Amino acid sequence: MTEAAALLRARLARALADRERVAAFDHRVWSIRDKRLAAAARHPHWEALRRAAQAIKAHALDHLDSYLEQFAARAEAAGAVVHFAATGAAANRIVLELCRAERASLVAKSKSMTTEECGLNEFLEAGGLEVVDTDLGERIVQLFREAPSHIVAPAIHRSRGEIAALFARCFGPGQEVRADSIGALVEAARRAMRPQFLAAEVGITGANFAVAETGGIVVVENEGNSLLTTSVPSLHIAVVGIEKIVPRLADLGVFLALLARSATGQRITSYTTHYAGPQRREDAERGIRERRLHIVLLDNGRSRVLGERHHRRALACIRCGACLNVCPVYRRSLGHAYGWVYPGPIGSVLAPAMRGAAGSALAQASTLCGACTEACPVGIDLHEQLIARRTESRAARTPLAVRLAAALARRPRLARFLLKRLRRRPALNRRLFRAWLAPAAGVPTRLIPALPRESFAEWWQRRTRRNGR
Amino acid sequence: MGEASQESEQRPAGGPSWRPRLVTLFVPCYVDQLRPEAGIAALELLEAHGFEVDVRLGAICCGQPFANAGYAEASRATSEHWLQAMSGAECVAVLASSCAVHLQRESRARPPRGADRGAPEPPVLELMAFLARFAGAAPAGRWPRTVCLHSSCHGLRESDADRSARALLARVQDLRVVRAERADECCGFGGGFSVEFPELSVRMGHDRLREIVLTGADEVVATDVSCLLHLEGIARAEGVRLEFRHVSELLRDALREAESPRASAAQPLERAPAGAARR
Repeated sequence: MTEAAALLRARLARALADRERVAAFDHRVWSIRDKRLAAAARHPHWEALRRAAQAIKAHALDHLDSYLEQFAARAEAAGAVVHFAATGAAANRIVLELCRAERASLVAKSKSMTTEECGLNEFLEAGGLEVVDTDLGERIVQLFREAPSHIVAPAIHRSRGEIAALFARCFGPGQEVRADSIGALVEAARRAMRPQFLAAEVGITGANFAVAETGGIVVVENEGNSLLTTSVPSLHIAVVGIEKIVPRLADLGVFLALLARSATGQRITSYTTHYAGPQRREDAERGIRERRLHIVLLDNGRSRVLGERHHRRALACIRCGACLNVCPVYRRSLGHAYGWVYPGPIGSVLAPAMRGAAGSALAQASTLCGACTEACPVGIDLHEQLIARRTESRAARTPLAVRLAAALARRPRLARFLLKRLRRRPALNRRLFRAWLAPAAGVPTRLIPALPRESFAEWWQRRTRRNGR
Repeated sequence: MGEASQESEQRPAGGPSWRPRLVTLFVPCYVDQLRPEAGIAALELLEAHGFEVDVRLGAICCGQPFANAGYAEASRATSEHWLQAMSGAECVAVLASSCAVHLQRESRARPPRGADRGAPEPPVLELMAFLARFAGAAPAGRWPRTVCLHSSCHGLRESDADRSARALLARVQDLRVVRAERADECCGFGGGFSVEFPELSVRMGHDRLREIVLTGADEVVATDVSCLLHLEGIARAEGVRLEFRHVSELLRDALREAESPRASAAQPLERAPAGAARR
């Protein structure tokens, strides 16, 4: 076991120690899975939709270079300014410079895993800006000073009571925050956030899709915070991963239907906003306000994934979170145990290309049950890709123990001879099986199988002799 | 043993009327060593359904553990050895869906062999899929108990094993088959995973076990002994009294029960004092 894998095991074990929180987390995440299944079952052409999405994404990724050029040209023709950022750090610098040029002090942000991936909040704060996440879940984890635990539901690891206590602490003594009502919690956040929306000089969003044909970007959301984020400040910056490209506007008919159902079980999200160039809106007092839209197209390891034969299709991911919701490991990890922004199966597939060697251990944390592959709306063979990641992470030289085991696997007589002797030595067995006994406060929680006197092969040989064959 | 029979000329076995006479049963390494009862039951079940059964001791491992751990070369060499050992067999029935899925994949990935290059490769079927196909209409006996069929992931998502086992169990008289909540959730074994992440592996198994206990089943059956050994280890540690058996053990006993009721109680094999075992 590598050092990185040992660290991962320790983080996962630490999460498990919080039994009640894990049980609640598992229950909440599982309920999203049920909603997805119900929504998919109600769609008359679900499988056809999945196949179409897979084909569109495969085509878009095969021609990503030309679609990116097309997108950039059409976005600029519509009045946006397009930047290319090779790394998260480069994207952060571009955004900070734009904010400084705007003389901004307060930035409103809507939900964006892409900026989480870059660590944009911390970077802007270090640059002297105040950043307010306006998605409720994102705002909660921001106030807790922690990372999202789920790519769709960032605060799903927190209980209602914890959130009420947080709001009471952060929103001041004047706020009445009742834990027994989600409505009251939302209202408290809304009241606290409203002035910040109005004061923000810059609004930052991600994008769910970037349409090459129109040069427009599309943001789906349920809370309306993204709309406010982009309609009050005069500068809108969208940080968009390059894999978000779809060729045509019509393709959205496939992807919007898949995304809402897969992510939350909705037929469609409350708001689907198309931004084709900067918004122009008349302001009664100040005449026509100039508005600007800057789009930062982010690579940050994506082109590396594109170059990996086995993993290219992982870029088709639409970040719906379906693979997280079905993953028995993720549901017991509290999200954070993976140690990076994209947890669960898709994160473990992307990590080695986007994070380097440190991300390689993540692929170990899977039973290869295949639930992720079954759930993925865009047909990514996630558990096969996890096996491929394991293969890639192995050193060129196979360890001696594995070579010995493989040699024995091809010498059945010798293997059975040795195993027969091993079965007679309970103490040695206990030592060999020790790793199987999970220490929970020093108490084994899984016992090793009782060992039979006679193996199946020995029984068969005895029977064959008896029958005189 | 293992001479290619007349019927083997009709391979690859696609024809609707094809029915193998001689079945080569493959009992994977861990079943061979840790749960021989499952192998014996599989063999007796096949014989009870009128098949002649052969075992080839020239193969012990399918290679899947190496593949899943990321050792592709060790896997390929092991699978190649296995395919060699089974060369010329009429049909191979595998007593584990995960091994069967791996072997089917390896068999497909292998370059096709010309007629001049030895016997063609035998079809490889998981045991339950084999029985459902070739003995699915035969009488299935009687077993007056309540049983929970645990779905193994390979049996459920990557092969017909689970569906086949369910169909075979449905034909057993007086048998009540119950489903646990979250029936498609992994038990947490996962081969190397159970060693590298034992805390997580045990927790997943504990959660599965809780759902299974809630069904009120007398026994748990599965198409994969690996899930069963893992779940049984947790049940024993937690003092949960449940019987864990391969589906073929139940099916064999159901046939015997129908022949001569009560005479069937399968005698457990004599066991060495288990390492950390306690009851």
